[in-house]
Amino acid sequence: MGKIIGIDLGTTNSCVAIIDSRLPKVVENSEGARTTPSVIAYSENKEILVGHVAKRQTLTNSKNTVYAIKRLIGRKFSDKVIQKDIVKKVSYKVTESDNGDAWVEIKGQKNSTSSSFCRNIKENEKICGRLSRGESR
Amino acid sequence: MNEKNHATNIEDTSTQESHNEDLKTKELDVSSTKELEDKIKALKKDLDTANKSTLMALADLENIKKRAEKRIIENHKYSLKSFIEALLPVLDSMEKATLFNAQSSESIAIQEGIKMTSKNFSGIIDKFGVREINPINELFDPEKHEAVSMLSDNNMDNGMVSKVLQKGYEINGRIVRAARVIVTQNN
Repeated sequence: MGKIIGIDLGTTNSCVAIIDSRLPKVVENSEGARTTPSVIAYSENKEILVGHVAKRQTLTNSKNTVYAIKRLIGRKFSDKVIQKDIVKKVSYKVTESDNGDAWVEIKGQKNSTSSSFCRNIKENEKICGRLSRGESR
Repeated sequence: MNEKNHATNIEDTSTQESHNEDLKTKELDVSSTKELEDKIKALKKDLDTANKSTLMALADLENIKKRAEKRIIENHKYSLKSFIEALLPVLDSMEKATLFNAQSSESIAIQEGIKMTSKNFSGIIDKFGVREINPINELFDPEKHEAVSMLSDNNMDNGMVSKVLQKGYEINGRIVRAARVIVTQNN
């Protein structure tokens, strides 16, 4: 049977579980927490920070720290909700892509919400799952 | 003559019959051999599948054993984390009390008592692998510090911790509570 891993990618927090002896088991992250903040940051030395670590440095690196990214997925930049609730209230820059989608601009580069950020958060959760199963990263 | 012919006929018939029987036997042999060969192939396939399942089950069992061992070690290492986390506000309160500017001799005596209790407390948790995180004048590290404010300070470089509002603690390398700090930001 293949490895089964479940990821709950929430707006504020994410959670990952594996199947262990036919039962689901929530996996703890490197800090021992069962949930991980859905926050991702790009530091000055090009390091990608995810989770608690990213959340702790939000104040010092606000423009390059992305949170609540799920609220942008599937929405257009011109959407009223985006313009009213998100663009003016988040610390990172929300921009319009070529096809009108709401994307995020980090360090001058436009990034798709679903592919770049959620992928990095999911990748981190997958790593937690693999480490929990005793596999290498 | 007739008897001879009759005998020959009988011989021919019996030869023919035995020949036919031989043919039938051979046909049966061929078809039953083929059936047996097919059966052997199917059984070999089933055996292969069963062997693979057994190997996978053994590998899974080995992995479960390893994970269980790892979990036991981790539980032992970090079992006190929640307990320590719950006790930290008590330690924080005692440390704040020691900073109070006591005036009267009675207050000073009480403050001394609280200082000694706090020191004793810190010594005990240190024995269980709990380490203090007090990063004053260090470079801000989000792995262990949480920035709650930024202030300008020309006496320090950018990104340094100028003040620690609340000390952090870690147990055997895992963060129990990140230190809450003020970080310098000079424009």
